[in-house]
Amino acid sequence: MPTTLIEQFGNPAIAIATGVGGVMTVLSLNALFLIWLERKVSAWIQRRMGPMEVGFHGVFQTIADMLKLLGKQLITPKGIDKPLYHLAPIVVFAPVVAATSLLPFSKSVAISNIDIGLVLIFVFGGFAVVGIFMAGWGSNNKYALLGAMRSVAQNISYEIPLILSALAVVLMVSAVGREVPIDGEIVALNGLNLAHITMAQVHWTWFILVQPVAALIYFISVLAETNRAPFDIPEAESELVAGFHTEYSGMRFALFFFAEFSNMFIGAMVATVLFLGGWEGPILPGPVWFFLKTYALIFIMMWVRWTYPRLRFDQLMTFCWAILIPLSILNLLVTALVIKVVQS
Amino acid sequence: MMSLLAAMSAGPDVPPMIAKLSIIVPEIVMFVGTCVVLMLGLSKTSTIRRASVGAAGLALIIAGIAAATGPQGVADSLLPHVMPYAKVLIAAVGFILLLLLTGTVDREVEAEADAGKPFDVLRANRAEFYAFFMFSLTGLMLCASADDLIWLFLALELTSLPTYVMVSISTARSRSQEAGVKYFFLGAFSAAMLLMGFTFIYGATGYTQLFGYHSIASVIGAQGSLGPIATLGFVMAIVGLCFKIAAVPMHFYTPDVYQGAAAGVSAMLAFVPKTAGFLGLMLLTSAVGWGLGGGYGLPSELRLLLWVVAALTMTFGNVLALMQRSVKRILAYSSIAHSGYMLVGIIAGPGAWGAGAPGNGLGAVLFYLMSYGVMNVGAFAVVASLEKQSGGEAEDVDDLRGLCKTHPLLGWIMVISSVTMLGLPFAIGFLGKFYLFTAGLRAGEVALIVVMGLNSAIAAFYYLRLAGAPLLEHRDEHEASLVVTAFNSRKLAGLISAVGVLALLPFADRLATLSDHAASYGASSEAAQASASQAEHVDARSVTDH
Amino acid sequence: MTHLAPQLLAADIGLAAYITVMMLISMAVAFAVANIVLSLIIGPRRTGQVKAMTYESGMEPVGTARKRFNVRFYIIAMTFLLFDVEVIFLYPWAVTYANIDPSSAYQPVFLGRVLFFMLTTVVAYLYGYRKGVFRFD
Repeated sequence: MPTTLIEQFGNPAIAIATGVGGVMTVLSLNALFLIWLERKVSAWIQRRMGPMEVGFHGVFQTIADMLKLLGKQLITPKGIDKPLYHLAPIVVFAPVVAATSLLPFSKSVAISNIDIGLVLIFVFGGFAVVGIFMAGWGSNNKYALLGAMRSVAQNISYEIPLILSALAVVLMVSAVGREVPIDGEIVALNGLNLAHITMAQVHWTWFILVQPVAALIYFISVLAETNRAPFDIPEAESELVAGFHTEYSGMRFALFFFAEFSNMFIGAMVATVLFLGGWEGPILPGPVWFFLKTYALIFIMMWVRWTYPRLRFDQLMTFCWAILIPLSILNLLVTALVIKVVQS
Repeated sequence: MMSLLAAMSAGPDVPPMIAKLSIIVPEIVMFVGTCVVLMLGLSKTSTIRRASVGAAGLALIIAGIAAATGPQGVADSLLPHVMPYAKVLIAAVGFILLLLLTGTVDREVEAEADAGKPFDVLRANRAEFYAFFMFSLTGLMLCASADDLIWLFLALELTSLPTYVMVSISTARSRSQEAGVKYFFLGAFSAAMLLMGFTFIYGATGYTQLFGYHSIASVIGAQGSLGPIATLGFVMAIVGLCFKIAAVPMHFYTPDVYQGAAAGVSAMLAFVPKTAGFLGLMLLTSAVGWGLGGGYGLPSELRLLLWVVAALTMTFGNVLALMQRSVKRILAYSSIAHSGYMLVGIIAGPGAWGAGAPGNGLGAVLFYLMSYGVMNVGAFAVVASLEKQSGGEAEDVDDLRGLCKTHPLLGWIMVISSVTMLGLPFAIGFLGKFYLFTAGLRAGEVALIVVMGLNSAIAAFYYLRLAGAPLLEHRDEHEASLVVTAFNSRKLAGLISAVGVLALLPFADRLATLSDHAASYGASSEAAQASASQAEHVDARSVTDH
Repeated sequence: MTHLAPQLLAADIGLAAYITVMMLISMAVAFAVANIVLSLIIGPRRTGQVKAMTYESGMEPVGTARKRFNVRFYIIAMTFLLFDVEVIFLYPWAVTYANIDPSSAYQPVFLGRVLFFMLTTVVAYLYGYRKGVFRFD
C-alpha cells in the first residue's frame, strides 16, 4: 500500500543511505550558500561588495571558512557542566536534519511522508529550545546564560502564534474539500500531512490569499523562532557577545551556526508548503518551484534583518503576548466560523 | 481518523453531549460566575472589586435555583435523584460559606488603596480567592452529576486543587503556607491513589461509565462478584477518597491544615472536600451494589475495609479531639469523627425496603451532610469573628470563656452549634445521627452501631467543653480582651447557621423524605435492564424482608 | 533525494517512515560527533589557566553564572504551558472539524466545544493580562 523508501529500493541499507546522503547534501550546500548569500545581501544593502577574493564573487568563501573552523582549537572552559556542554551542539543540530527529511519537495520526491508531518516539524523545532538552554546553562558564562534565558523565553512565546497560525491552514485543508485519488481510492485531505497541504493549493489557490493574517503571523514568528533580526536579542552582539554559544569555538560553534541557517531554511520551506502552494506552479518542475519560493522567502528574511533595528526585550515579548497571540486565536476562530457559514 | 468520522456520522442525531449539557446547567452558571468574579476582582475601582463577592453570591443563588428547577433525575443512573438535592445543598451551604469568607484576604492591600495609594494588582488576592472558592464549588456540583470515572476524577480534582491554594493565601502567616504545602502534597498522593484505583477498575471491567447498559455496574452485576483486580481498584479508590473525607488512613493533615488556614477556609474544608468524597463514595459503592455475594451488603472485602475505616475514624477523631486546646483543632478532629459516622450510612447502603422508607443509609448520609454543613459553619464563624487584641484569631478554648456575657450573639452561636454537633435531641444533628443509627441497625451492623454510640459519648466531653466555656465559665480580668471583626457578614453566617439548626427542626421530616428520595437507589426507567441481575437481587431481598 | 512513485500522497502509516527519520537523527549525531572528533585531531591542543578561563570580556570572571534569575522568565514558562496544552488539544480539532458532514449535528457541537475551550483560555489570558504577566518593563 503506502510506498516507503525501503519498498522503493528493496534494500533498507541503500534506501537509508540515499535518504541520509540526500538530506545532508541539501543541508550542507544550503548552509554554505545561505551564509554566502547573507554576506552578499548585507553588503549590497550597505553598498559594499562583500566577499570577493575566494572564487567568483567569493562563492567559495564559506567553504574556506569551514575548513578554517575545522582546524581551530576546541576550547573547553573550566567550570562547565560537562554532559550539558558537550551534548548541546548535537541536540541543536540533529533535529534540524530530521525535520528536513519530512518536507515534500515535489509530487514524487520526498524522503519520508508521514501523516503527522506538520506536528513532527514543530516537535523537532522544540528540540532547539532544549539544546540552547543546555548550552547556556552548561557554559557557566553569564553572557551565555542570559542569552539562553532570553532565547528560551522568546522561542516558547513565539511558538504559540506559530502553531496557531499553522492550525488555521490545517483547518483550511479539510475545508477546501478537495479529494484526491490515492491508490485508486478517493481520499479526503489530511491537514497535518505536508503533501496533502500542498495538494489542497493546486491551481494557484495558495493559502496566503485566503489566510493573509495567518501568513503574516507565521512569517513573523519564524523570524523570532530562528532568532533573526529584528528579533535577534538572544545573540545581540553588542550586549551579549554571542549569546548562548559564547563559550563554543571551532566546529562546535560551526554546528550551532549550521543549525541556525538550516532552521531558517526549514522555516521558509514550511512557510512555502503552508502558504505558497509548495511545489505547485506552471511549466517548471516541482522542486524548482519549491526552492524558488523558499529562497524568495529567505531573501525577504535577510532583507528584513539588514533593514530593521533590533527590538528591546520587553517590546519583543509584549508584541508576542499582547498582539500576535490574541490575533492568531482570533484568526483561528474566524476561520472556523467562516468555514461553518460557507459549508452550510 | 476516517473511521472515527464514519462512526460519528453514523451516530444519533442529537449528540449525547447536548443531552448531558442540560444536567450541568448549574455548573455552567457557576463557571460563568467564576469567570466574572475573576475579572471583577481585579478591577481598578474599589467598588467593583467589592462587587465581585456579590457576583459570586448571585451565581450561587442562580445555580441553586437552576438545580432546584432543572431536571430532577438522570437516565441510566443507579442514583438518579441525588443530583438536584446535592446541588441545592451545595449552593445553599456555599452561600453561607461565602458570607463567612468575606474579608479573609486583601485587607492590607485594600487599606492601602483606600488611603490613596494605587491598587497593587500583583499583591491582591481577592480575585483568585473567590474564584477558587467558586471553582471548588463548581467541581463539587460536577461530582454530583458524575456518571463516569474520568468525569468523577476531574470533578474531584477541580474540587480539591483550588482549596490547596486557598489554604495558602488565606492568611499571611507562614503556618498557612506550611499547611497549604502539606495539604497539597498529601492531596496529590491521594489523587494518585484514587487514579490508580480507577485504572484498576477500568482494567477489570473495561468501562469508565459507572451506570448504564455498558458500564462498570452492568459488568459487575453480570459477573456476580468483584474479582481480585476490581477489588484492588475499589480499595485503592476508597482509600484515595478517604483523604477527601478526612478518614483514618489519610486523616493526618486535617488538624494542621484546619489550624493553619483562616477559620472561614477551615469551615469550607470541613464541608466541600467531605461532600465531594461522600458523593464519590456513593457513586462507587452504587456501581458495586449492595446485592453481591448472596446476602445483603457490600462485597465482604469492601465492607470490611469501610467497617474498619469507619470504626477507626470515629474513635481516632473523638479521642484525639479530647486532647486539644485549640478550637480549630477540636473542630478538625470532630470533622474526622463525623466522617466516621457518615461512613456507617455508606456501609448500610440504600436498604432493600424501597424508596421513602426510613433506614436508607445513603439518604441518611445526605441528610447528615446537610445538617453537618449547616451546623459546622456556626462554630467556625465564631472563631472567624473573634480576634485577639494582640492580633491573630482567638482559637484557644480558654479564649471563649464567658463569651455569652461579653459577646452574647457569638457565645450563643457557639453553644448552639456545639450542642447540635454533639447530637442532643433538640437539634438537627441528633436526627442526622438517628437516621444513621436506624440505617445501620436495619443493615445489621450492630457492632458498628455500638462503636458509634460509644463515640458519641466520648464526643460529649469536648463538645460540652466548647459549649460550657462560653456559657458557664468566667473570663479573668487580666486576660486581654477580644475584638469582634468588622465583618458583620461573618456573624450573619454564624447566625444563619445557629438559627438554621433550630429552624430546620420542624421541617426535619420533610427534609428526611427529600434526602431519602434523593438517595433512592436503582435504575430509574430506561436503564432497568442494565443492572437486571442486581435489581432482581434487591427485589428478592425486599420480598424476604417484608 | 529519491524518486518515489506517484503514490507519495498515500502517507506512510507504518513505522517504516519513522525508522527513516530515526536513522537520519542517528546519522546526524554521528556526523556531528565525527566533525568534532576530526577537529579535535586536526586542531591545536594548547591549554592553560588563561585559555580555560570563562570569557567575561577579558576580565577575571566574577563569581559563578548560576545565580537566581528574574522570576518573569518562569512566569512566561508557566503561561506558555497553559497555551501549549491548549494548542495540543486544537490539533485534532483542526484536523477533524471541517471534515465533518455539515448537516450532522456534530459540527455545531464541535464548534461549540472549541469555542468554550477557547473561552476558558481567553479568561485565563485576560486574568494574566490584568495581573501584569505580559508586561515586561
